[in-house]
Amino acid sequence: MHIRKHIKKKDMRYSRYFKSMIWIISLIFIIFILSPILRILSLVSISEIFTQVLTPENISSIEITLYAAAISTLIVLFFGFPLAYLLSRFNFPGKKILDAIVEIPIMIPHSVVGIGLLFVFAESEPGGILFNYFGISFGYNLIAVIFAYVFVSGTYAIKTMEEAIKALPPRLEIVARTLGASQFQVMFRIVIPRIARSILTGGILSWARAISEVGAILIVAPYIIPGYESIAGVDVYNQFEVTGLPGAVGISALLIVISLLIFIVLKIIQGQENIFFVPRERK
Amino acid sequence: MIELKNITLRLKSFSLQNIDLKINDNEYFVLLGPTGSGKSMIMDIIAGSIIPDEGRIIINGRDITYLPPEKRKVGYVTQDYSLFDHMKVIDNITFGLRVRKVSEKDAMDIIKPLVDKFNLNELLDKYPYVLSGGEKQKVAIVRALAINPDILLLDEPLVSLDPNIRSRFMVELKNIHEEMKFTTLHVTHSMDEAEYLADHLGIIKSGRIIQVGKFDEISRNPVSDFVASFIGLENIISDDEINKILNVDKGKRIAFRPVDVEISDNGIEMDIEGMQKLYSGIRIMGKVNNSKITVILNSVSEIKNGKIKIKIKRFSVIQD
Repeated sequence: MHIRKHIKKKDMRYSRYFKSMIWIISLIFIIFILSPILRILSLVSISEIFTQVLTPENISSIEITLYAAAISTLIVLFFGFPLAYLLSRFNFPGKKILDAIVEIPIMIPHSVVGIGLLFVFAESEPGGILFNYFGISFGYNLIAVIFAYVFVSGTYAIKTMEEAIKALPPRLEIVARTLGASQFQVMFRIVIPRIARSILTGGILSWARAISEVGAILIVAPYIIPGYESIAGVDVYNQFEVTGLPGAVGISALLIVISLLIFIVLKIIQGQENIFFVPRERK
Repeated sequence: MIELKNITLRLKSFSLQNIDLKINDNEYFVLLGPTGSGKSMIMDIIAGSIIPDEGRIIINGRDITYLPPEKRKVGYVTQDYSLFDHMKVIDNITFGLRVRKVSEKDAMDIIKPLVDKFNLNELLDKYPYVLSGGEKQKVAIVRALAINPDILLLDEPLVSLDPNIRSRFMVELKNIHEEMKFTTLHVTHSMDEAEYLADHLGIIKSGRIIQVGKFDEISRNPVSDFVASFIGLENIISDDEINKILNVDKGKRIAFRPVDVEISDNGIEMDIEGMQKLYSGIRIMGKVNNSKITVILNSVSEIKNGKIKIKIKRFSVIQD
């Protein structure tokens, strides 16, 4: 153990040349990802944030975005958990097809998603007629935003939870049942607590994916009646269209800062020793 | 009493065939068989995670074949313990009582004697991941016993323990069983466990139970070469000349353990092919007439010209 640690520290396994290559190629990619973000942030001074960026319009568009993404994440987790359980525990014909369907949203261009949702839920379409019956309308409202978010972000949560449930030995559930627990008790007392961390991770991924969605929203809810506000991503696009690059900087910077802050907070929660009083998994 | 009646399960690559088994109250029954013989599948059938194609499982006159696991009163301890890592030891142990809505005080009263017996008092507030293999095993057994099951299923309970802990645990398990007398079905591929722990023993091979009895009975009258070699009668020979010396019918095969021989001047001559020093004694491989055998002796001082004369002290005649 001692010696192995030592070797690891010295990294004797790799030549300097090989290591440099790996580092350089990796860093090019990291710089590519970081540069637009850092460039935007560099264009906004702290005083500007308070005077020009934190305008009521910007704040309300951020609010709508975070709110819709949060609701969509809850919906995704509610429907996604049983689906993940189905895919990881049950055997049935067509399971592979179902598994593939869950991944479809990743492949489809998101403007197409918007069009598709309208064709199902617009007022004259079957889903829309059903919704109308309950007094719900679709399009230019928060419901449309949430639907689009659920569609594009669900895959991430479902796949994350599916992998976690697959990694949980099925015998654990049988043992819990022999001890007297019903199937639902096993679900709530064993399975969900044991994969709590993955549920949180899946939730974070879905939430982040939802916030970044613009394509589908431009089709189903480019602005939201009654206030004619837009979700933040669309707002950036609109301001770019109207005033060019300088106009879009403020809202972009705000969006980045808020997303990163929430992301960091969630990552810290996720890294905690206990999540929902559930200790970290150990091997 | 637990009865498996004619249990049959057909899978693509494997099947359990007509499993009949009777385990009396308070008995420690060991099902012994090689890996892949269907032992764990029988456990899963009794626990209720697999429904057999045919047959019945009767516990104390109650047919549980189609009952869900939570209604069976079966305590199941799996090979990897299946502890709930997100609960403290105490919560693991009381899990079965809590889901039955037993009050916290009553639950504590119920588990107290078990916790004392298995020496778990110090561990109650710990999480399972800090426990050693032996401790985890005890927690799993106590958790299963806490619901006062009609039968305790132990699936290879000693296989993942270190060798020295294993023997100690085996002794502890036997002592506790002798005191508490919980009806137990223990499956294993280890002859030592079967010999030491079993009141009765069943031998399973390729999904069939081929012999049931006390260890001594089986070891005296093994029904096949497989049974003989699996319970440690390593040497199986078919040699009429030796049969004549041992007073065994012509054509029968005899089986004996490597330790069941001694050096004797008027014994059978064995040609030595190789030797291996053991911690106690010497393992000698060689041939008598044309049969290969292995014996374990205390000294090799009697070897002359690569030969030694041995007498078989105890042997069994294979009953097929």
